[in-house]
Amino acid sequence: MASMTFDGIGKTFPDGTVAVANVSFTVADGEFVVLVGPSGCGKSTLLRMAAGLETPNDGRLLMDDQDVTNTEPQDRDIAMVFQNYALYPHMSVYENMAFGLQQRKMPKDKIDRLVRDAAEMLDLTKYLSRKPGALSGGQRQRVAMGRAIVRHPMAFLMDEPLSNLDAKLRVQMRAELKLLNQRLGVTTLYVTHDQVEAMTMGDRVAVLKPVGNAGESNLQQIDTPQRLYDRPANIFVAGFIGSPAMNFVRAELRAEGASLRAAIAGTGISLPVPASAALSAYAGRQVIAGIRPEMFLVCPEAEALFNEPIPVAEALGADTYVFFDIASPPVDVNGAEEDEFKRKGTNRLVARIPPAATPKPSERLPLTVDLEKLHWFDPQTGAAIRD
Amino acid sequence: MSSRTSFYTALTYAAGLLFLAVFIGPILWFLALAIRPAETAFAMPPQLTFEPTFDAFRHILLDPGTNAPQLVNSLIVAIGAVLLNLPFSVPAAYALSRFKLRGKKNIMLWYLGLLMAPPIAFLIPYFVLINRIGLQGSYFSMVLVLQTLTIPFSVWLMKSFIDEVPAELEEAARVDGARWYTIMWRITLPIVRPGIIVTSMFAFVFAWNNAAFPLVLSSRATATLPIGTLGYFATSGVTWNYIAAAAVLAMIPPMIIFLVFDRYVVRGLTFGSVKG
Repeated sequence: MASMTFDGIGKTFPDGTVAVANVSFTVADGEFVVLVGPSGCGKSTLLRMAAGLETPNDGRLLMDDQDVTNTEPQDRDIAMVFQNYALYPHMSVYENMAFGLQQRKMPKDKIDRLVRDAAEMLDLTKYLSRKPGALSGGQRQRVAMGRAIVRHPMAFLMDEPLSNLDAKLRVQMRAELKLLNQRLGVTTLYVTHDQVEAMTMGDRVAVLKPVGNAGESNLQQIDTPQRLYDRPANIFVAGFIGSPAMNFVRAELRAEGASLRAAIAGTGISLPVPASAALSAYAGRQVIAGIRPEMFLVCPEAEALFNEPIPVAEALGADTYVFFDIASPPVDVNGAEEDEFKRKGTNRLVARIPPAATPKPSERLPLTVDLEKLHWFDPQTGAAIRD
Repeated sequence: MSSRTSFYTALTYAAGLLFLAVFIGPILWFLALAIRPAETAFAMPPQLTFEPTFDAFRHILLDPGTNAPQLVNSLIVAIGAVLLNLPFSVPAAYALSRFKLRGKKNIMLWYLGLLMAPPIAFLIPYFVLINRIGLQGSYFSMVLVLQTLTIPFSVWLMKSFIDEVPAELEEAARVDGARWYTIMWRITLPIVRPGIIVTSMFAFVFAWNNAAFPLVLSSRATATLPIGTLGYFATSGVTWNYIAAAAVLAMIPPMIIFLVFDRYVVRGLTFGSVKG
């Protein structure tokens, strides 16, 4: 077991594509860290660099304070689980699991014991003599896991290991993987594009974003799932974490005596803003307000801040998601330059309400907002405005 | 079925049969030539019915100084060519498929160029070369020179098989701690076993069918079957039924091989062309 430190890691491919730039973080000994982000955010490249399958152009990679930046994968003592499992098709399950141990010149009886222990743990004992082609998707996934755990490596690297499974099996394997990690206590770096997987599995989650040039950093924030949700560092993280995604609206902060109000652009809606030193500095300026779907509260019409017709309501049983439009320009979470087209148009918001409050189609629904829990962002930098 | 579609079906079959006749016709004619009485070979009009006789086969296989030892020589040379071919072409194909090499494309094109060059052009240089190193008339000289044909072809064929093995498998093996030679030996080559079989078959047939190299390199004792066949073009006349019998004999080993490994051949020929 070991800690793993990325120190200013960067990778530019020969064609000039900057895949990873300026990524620094440490995975503590025994910790489960999930790398999450949209496609092209460099998460898989980072993992491959941790494995030694790619060499970084910049920075250092340390394992237990030892520089392994240019160490071959064979010499790193890590185990990797691939998205398509990469099981050796001509070998039995037993041979697949034993292969890594044989490379380490372990005596046969010890290999046999380790393989059988791992197979027992993963409920694979009766499949040991089968070839991967004769196994189901879930069983193959477990063999891939078995091949990793049988080696008792310093760290596990997992590249979207559950993405080839059907939805039900994925949820089941998610829990099993988490349990397995708690039991083995091996340092794990796990890549996924699924934020639910990231939130449910990670001790900490690193949110990554595609970079345009080598001056930026892919790493937006690394923190516990709850803190990512409650205190996102910027608008990208706020928009990526949470389902349905956070609503964003443009607003202008206006000082009214000692208090502040946020006037939502394009509408007559004005939200009272709780006192905050950081926000006071933005008085008279544009900001972006972030409203999580569950921050909307159904209220009597007299107290309503929003009172729009609801064209679509999705009943999920425990909750209902209601969608409504306000005449306010939409916000691009990726911070792209806005054009004239985007300044116009409407902004579709989503609220999570109790099923009992679900309106009839096209009926208006009076909603207020839990003002204490609003998020505020700088429209230029995208950074959270917070005391 | 309407009469129109049945007409087209009939037309398709007719075209198919015509094609078949063009390819199989000469083979059947030769087969007939081998088993018909010698004096009817050039009868005019052609005699389609005759009393079959195996005299020609009996002569070429059993009479002293004829083709039986040459059949063995052909087998020695062809099998030797395959055995010498694989240890060179398979690792070469692996390296060209997997390693970062400068000028990889040029090497592949050079191999292709070797295949395009007419072997006749090199006969005299090879003859001189083989004589200088004292290998004239040996089996090894033929096996060696045949590699100039079989290795380039085998490298191309093997590379297309190895290219199809997903890179993740080798990456998994690297992470598992295996070096490149272990990966090649224990992961990649077992997976491309059908490819190795197909490559061996083609190398065998290449060597088996080759007449040009043995013509200048073999001695009377090591002459292969095609050379033996040439012997029937004598100044005293051409004994067509012996030639036909020897040719039919020469067809048998490749046919057996293709029948046995049929499923691999189809896969080998379509490999690379049907990538998803």
